[in-house]
Amino acid sequence: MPAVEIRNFRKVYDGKVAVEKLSFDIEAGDVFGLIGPNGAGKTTTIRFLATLLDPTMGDATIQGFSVRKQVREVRRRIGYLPDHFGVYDGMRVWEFLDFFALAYGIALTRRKKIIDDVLTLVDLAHKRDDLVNGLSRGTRQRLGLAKTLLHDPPVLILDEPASGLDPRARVEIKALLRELKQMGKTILISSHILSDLADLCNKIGIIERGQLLACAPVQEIVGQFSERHVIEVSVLSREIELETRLATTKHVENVERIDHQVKFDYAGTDEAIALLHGALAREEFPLVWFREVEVTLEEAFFRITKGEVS
Amino acid sequence: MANAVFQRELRLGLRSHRAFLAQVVFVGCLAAVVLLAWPKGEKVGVEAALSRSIFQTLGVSMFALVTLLAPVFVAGSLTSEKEAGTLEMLLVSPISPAQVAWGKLMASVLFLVFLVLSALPVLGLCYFLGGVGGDEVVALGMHLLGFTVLVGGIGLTASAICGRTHGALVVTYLSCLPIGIIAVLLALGSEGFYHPETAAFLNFLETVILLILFAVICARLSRPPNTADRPAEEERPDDQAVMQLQRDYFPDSFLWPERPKGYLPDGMNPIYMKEVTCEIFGRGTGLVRAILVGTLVLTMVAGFFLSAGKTPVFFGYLDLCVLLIAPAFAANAFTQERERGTDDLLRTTLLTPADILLGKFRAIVRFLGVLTIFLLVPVPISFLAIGNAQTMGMTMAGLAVNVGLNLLVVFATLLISTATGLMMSLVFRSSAGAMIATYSTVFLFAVVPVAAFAVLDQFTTIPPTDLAMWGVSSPFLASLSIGGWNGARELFRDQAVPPVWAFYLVLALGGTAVALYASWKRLARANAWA
Repeated sequence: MPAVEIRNFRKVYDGKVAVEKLSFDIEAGDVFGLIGPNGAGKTTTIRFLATLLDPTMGDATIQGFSVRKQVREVRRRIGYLPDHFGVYDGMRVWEFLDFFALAYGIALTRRKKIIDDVLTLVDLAHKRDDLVNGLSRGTRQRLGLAKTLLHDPPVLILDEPASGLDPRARVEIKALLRELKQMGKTILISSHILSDLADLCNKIGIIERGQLLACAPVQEIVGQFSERHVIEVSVLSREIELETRLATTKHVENVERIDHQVKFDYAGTDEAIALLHGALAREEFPLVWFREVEVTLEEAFFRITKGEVS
Repeated sequence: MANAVFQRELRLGLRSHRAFLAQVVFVGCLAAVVLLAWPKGEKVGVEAALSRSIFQTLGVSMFALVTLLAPVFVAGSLTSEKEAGTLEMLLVSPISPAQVAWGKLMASVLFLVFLVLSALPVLGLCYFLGGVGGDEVVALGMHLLGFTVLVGGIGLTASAICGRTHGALVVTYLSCLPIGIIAVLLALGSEGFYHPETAAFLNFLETVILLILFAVICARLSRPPNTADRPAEEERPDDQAVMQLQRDYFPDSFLWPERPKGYLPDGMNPIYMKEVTCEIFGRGTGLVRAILVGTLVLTMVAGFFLSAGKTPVFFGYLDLCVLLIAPAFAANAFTQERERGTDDLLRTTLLTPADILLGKFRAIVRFLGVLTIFLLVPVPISFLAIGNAQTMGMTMAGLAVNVGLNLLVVFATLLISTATGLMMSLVFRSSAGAMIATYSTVFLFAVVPVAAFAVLDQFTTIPPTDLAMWGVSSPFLASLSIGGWNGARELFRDQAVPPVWAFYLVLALGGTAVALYASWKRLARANAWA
């Protein structure tokens, strides 16, 4: 049984479709990355799974419990971190966690140890007595993660946990998520930082205009573009001429020019690439470089999506 | 006028539903007063005394309406910018703080002036009835404009000083209410009030005060304090001007309890504990101290009425305090969670809607209850006042019963106004919207019946005992019906006063239950709690 199963989820706001018949599964222990441009429907999907949103149609289950009908059971099993969350003025870090631990019904006898444990896990033990409203963005984000872990949920739903963080804080959050992955947690994470997701996730869902465009392991998504070569050519001049020349060349597709660089897909063999390189040199294009670019998740994302919002 | 802030404010302000509604309510209420008071069956030449009476009633109504409506439009003027995080953007733009202050002040004040001007034709009707001089109509107009501008200035100053709209609203109401009461008393009793010279002199004073307030606003905007992340604990007693509140001293600890030293005990409602220890004083003690100072000073004044054998006046004052303060704390209870971004965190816990609702309700009722107890200081003094019971024609036991019933009315008012605020906080998305709706509702049920009573009693032949029964939703009429003031006997022309207080208690407690149930249903439905 998948840890998370979402079926035909549709959400309409004031006649405007935000998400259209979304379906995917996340297996236990998976780290699933949900990516898409702003306004694609990621947060709507995540809020639905976090029991915060009534769907127009469809349902989802968390460890077999319906998000629509078994809300309390689902809430016991999820740890939810919104993309933006506030704190209560005047509370200390441990008091903030104590408040939420009691809200999750954790008994006093276990609470102290749990709070100490999660503080250690997110590396906030030294900030235990600090006031929450004085914490930096990165520290506050770690506090949010600590809060989501209090009741030891098997499924974590994290909406943009690294957004707005400086590079060091991002690295720390990524390391923490790796640790949670090793602990066997199932994690659904949305993020704009695709390089982070590529390292962390074993499965990716790409969503645009409320529709799931791709849903597969990271290697599979990236791999679908590896049958063709992505070539980048940089010239000192005559770039427009080069662009026109390539656009009419056999096996060449998706020619793009940025300043003095021209990038294109090439469906030919390695030998054909060597011949093309030789031909361009013979035609005296002032080549600075001619190289094959490795397809990354970011590259795949740009190729799959069109940058449209619903 | 090329002030960008002014142009934007005026355009957005006049375009809002709130502006249209205010205009409708303001002119509608005044037109209703004129309609009720207008002489029936007579063509021309009504008695000068009646005409004058209509004129005075209208003037008083206008002062009362401006006092009640104006703060709603000005108090959020700068705090809403702070809450949205746009004030800094304004202050770092080439627009100077003085231009920002001037633009905000002019936009707020001009809208209120439009409001008053739109009602002047209604006022002018009295001129045609005779008995009222044109100079008197002009003088009243000048008074109203000056008063409106002053209320606008006070509201904007509160908005510049306070961090949040609800705080600014409370401070504005508490500051403007005494001025409004003085204006109403002058409009009712002083002939000299209607002389243009008096109006001009008061307008001059109001202008001077406005200039001082403008300087305060400019100074505040020039050096805005960074209070965004300043926790309550960092507020030293030395920071607290006029009055100090320290949670480890009695009786302060009664109002502002100390946080539990250790972990929260099992079985405790965490929402209640959070509200009591963090939310009410979350941004420091400034707001609560302002409320305490304002209400305690007024209580000393109101206490004289109690000692003078006028219990309904004193308890009416307490009702008014509760009606003004309760919405400030209740109407933002849920909107604040949304605005701050803690709403989703709470909703995904295992707390039930009832836990959340009752936790907040109990905390606010507790705080207001303690505050009300603080305001009861004059009550024991009243018992000690020699001959006080006799002044009211009562035994000491009778006085005790009278005070007890009045207290029940005050606490019922506290419950219903808190429950109404909580309900509005769930219905509206913003704190400002919820607060305006709450104030409008409590004034509709509590103040409008009193005004209707006064107008109908003066201009119709309906017996006052019947009229009182129409106002069972008003705590003021409820207090009046308990007795304890010879003036009330005169008001009811020595007829047996119906027990409005009993109906009021039933209505208020029933209304509280209904409002809480509606809130619970809304909370449960909106958050899909199983």
